[in-house]
Amino acid sequence: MPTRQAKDPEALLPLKQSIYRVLLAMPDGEALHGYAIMQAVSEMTQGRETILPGTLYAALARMVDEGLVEAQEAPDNDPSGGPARRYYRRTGFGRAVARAESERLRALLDIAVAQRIIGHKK
Amino acid sequence: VILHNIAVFVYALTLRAFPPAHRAHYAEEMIDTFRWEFATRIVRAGRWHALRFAAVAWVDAVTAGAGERRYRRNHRRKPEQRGAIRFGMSWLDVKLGLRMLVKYKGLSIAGGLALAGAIGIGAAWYDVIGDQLHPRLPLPEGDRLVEIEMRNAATRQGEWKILHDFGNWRRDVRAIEELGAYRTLERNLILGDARPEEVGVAEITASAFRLTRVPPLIGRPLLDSDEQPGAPPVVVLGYSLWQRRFGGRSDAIGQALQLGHSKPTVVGVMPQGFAFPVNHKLWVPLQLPASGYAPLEGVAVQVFGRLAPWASRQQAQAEIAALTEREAAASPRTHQHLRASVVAYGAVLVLPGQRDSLGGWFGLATTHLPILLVLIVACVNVGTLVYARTATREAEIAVRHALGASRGRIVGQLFVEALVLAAIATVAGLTAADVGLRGVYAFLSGHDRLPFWIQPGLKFSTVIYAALLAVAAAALLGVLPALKATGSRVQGQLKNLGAGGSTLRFGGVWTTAMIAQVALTVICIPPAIAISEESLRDRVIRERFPSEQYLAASLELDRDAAALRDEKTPGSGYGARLEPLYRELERRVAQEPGVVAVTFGDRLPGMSPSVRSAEVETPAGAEPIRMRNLWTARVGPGYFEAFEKPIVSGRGLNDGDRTASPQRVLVNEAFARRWLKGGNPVGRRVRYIARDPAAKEPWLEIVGMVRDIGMTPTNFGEAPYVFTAASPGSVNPLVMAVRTTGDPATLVPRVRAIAAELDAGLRLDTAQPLEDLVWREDAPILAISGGVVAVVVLGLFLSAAGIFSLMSVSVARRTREIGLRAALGATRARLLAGIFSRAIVLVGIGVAAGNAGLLGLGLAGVDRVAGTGALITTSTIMLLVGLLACVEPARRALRIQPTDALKEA
Repeated sequence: MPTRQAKDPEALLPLKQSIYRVLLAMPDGEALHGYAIMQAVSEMTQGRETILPGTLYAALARMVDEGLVEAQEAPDNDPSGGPARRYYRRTGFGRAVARAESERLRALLDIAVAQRIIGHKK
Repeated sequence: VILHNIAVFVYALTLRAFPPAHRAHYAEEMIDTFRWEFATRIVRAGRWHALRFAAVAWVDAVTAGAGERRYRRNHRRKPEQRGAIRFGMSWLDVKLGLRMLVKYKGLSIAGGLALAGAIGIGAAWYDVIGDQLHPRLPLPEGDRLVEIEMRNAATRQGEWKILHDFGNWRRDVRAIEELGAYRTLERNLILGDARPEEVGVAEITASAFRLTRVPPLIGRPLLDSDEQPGAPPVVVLGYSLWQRRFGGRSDAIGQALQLGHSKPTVVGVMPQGFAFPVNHKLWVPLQLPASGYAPLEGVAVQVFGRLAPWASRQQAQAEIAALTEREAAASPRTHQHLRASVVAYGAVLVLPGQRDSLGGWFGLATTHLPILLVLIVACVNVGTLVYARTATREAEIAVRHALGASRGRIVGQLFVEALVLAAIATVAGLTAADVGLRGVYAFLSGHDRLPFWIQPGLKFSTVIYAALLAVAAAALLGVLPALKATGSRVQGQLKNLGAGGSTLRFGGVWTTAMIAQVALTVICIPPAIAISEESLRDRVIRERFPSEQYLAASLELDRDAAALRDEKTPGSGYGARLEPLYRELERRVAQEPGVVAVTFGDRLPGMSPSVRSAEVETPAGAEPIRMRNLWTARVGPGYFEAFEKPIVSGRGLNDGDRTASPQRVLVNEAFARRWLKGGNPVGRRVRYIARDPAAKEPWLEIVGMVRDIGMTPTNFGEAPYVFTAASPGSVNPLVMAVRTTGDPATLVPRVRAIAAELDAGLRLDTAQPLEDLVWREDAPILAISGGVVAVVVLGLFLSAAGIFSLMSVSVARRTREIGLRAALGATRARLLAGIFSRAIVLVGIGVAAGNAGLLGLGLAGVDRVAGTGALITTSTIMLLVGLLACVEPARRALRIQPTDALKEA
């Protein structure tokens, strides 16, 4: 699929929840296959949130399109075993977009705190 | 394992909710991920838990898939927002486009010709219609000049005897200044001893010269005082006439010349290019009596003027309409149905009553719809060719896509390639249109029929318009196939590359277009054959007649004011004045060297015929034989001798037959063959059938039968004729025929001079060899039949090109299949049958539809299109063309080596 690099991370905001979760679940510099991303989302939220394959791959397709992640073919010595599968790695632009979205959410959170809807986290 | 397999199978099914491109890219991974999670859950939490997960995942796949489809759809729709397709073009694309033209020569020639034709026709149409609808007069503020047109709403005819109204308008209208009127007269121009020539003279009001704001080159223009009855006659010369007849000398001013019966003095010369009101070269004053005219009296004139600086055309229209209503109230008998309208000067070619809506939809539609239709037809045809080429280049497109070229970049490249083709075709089309229009204009200008505001050569706006047409054509031709080729199947194409096949197919639209084209071509073949056969047959027959020995000249006598008054006195009318002049002319021309015979009639053999319905009397008690078409001519004594046609039965006509009761007539042999079964017509009676069935025309007695002249071929041989006796004063037009042993063209100046000597007002209109006159009758018919044949040949050619494209794509798509079948032992015949069955079905449907159309036309009463012969001919021609188009793709298919195809597979 073609990759298109949006210049401004802000242009993609607000992110879809599924895309934001996948971005957060991907560690810097490390490439994960789809099933691993699914597990990473679940682990990251201690099992409170899961992402199913349909939603996951719809999100991945758009993220590849927008240049938030890049797809790589599996290394020859794929430790996960099974059939050959693609690995996805968060790009620098993906990180920038995740950061922009986080700041947007933090600004909202600050409002919620200021309005005493929630308290400061201790 | 069974549960696992079922869950995975259902999940794979739910993935159908995703768009095909997404599935092609991610389906395997998604199924793999689902399979792992499902297996893990069975092991960790048991079968029911895993099934619950599977159900949720199925629903998730369906909703996410639907969401993805929606997203992709919107993504495509808003390219400017999403940046999906950014067209990229470069000079390299232009070079590539030129290279493609060389590589695909067949497409370049076929497509280029079709586009050049469409764009050339479009440009010519735009140029001509532009001149007609929005004439640009090369005069100061020419767009403020108007004409006032009077029309009878009841008869829908123009009314030109409006000198009475002209007087009223000149006195009362404020919104139009310098109101003037003119009429065109033909006159003998006689200057000293030089041979007389016939010229068109504008009899015009002096206001015309103020209105055009063009000063004379020397001398003065016409003045208001020249219009006064009794004022000394004056004339203003046009530049070309001044150069030709006076050598451009300034002492022309003050000289007298003779125009018919009038001897005006030259008072001025207009500069080069001045030809107001239409294409005139001489101007004399239109003299109007001070007492004016009664309604609808006087001569026919055209009225013009210039809008006052403060007035719009609508205001002028309102004022004129109010005056016409006032006149209708005062003189309901003559003006009840008359409507006057103010129109831009020179604007013609409009339907009655629609001149006001020129700027609106009518003008727009007239200008652009025919052009767009022609262009779309050409583009659909060329589109099939370009589409086929794109199909053969699918691999290249897929690889470029894979290497990172965006969709927009590829679409842009294909657009530029189509634009290169369209641009070259546009240059060719514009050149052809320019040459063609210049030719037509030169012809019209040579015959003094081209208005002064029409300049030869295409206008700049036409060139811009053609450029826009080229861009539109390129967009249709390049972008649509490119979007299809770079669509969601691009991954499939990549996968397919190794197999050497193509994934593009000819869709329903292209197939329907081709079937329609085959059907239309089939419908056009029989009329084209019939028309061309008929016109060629007529030409061949008419060529046999020795028309090169004859001079044909129609005679006219000036009808000036005094003569018009005389018309009302019995015995001193136009005919009575013309008859002695003609007799003297005939006598003197007969004495000229080389002249063998002189005669006259209302038409000569080969000139446009007059046809009436008639009936022949039958023996008592039987119904008369009704003749729907009986050709008629009025002829002078000696007519048949002059044309060397003997009387084969009975006797010839003499002067007494004209006045005898019943009047006596001659018929030709064709009459006897067609209506009397070859019997002798002498003694039988014939009469014309009047339009009003109650009114009976008098019987005419047949006194003789003359040999067929052979200049009026019809589908059943020479036309049946009845000839009545005429005198020179009683026929209109009076056409003189002079048979000579030399070149008849050399006689023209001599005959003209004799006529002018006899009476300065006796003119020879259209004096030319009969051969030329016949050719002028035949040429348009031959041109039309040539045009029809050209259209049909083009239709056949484009049908063949379409079938060729279809087959090329089919062979390209099925390379591997063909190779495999060849390897498995399929014979050549079976292979070809497999590949070409579609072309055969397509041509078959087209031919069947076309034949059905022909039968329909036959039922609707159109002659000679639906005979068995015609159906067999058209079907054979079309099938042959279809087969020819299949030859090259068939050779390509048979060249596929089974081993290569198997290796690629």
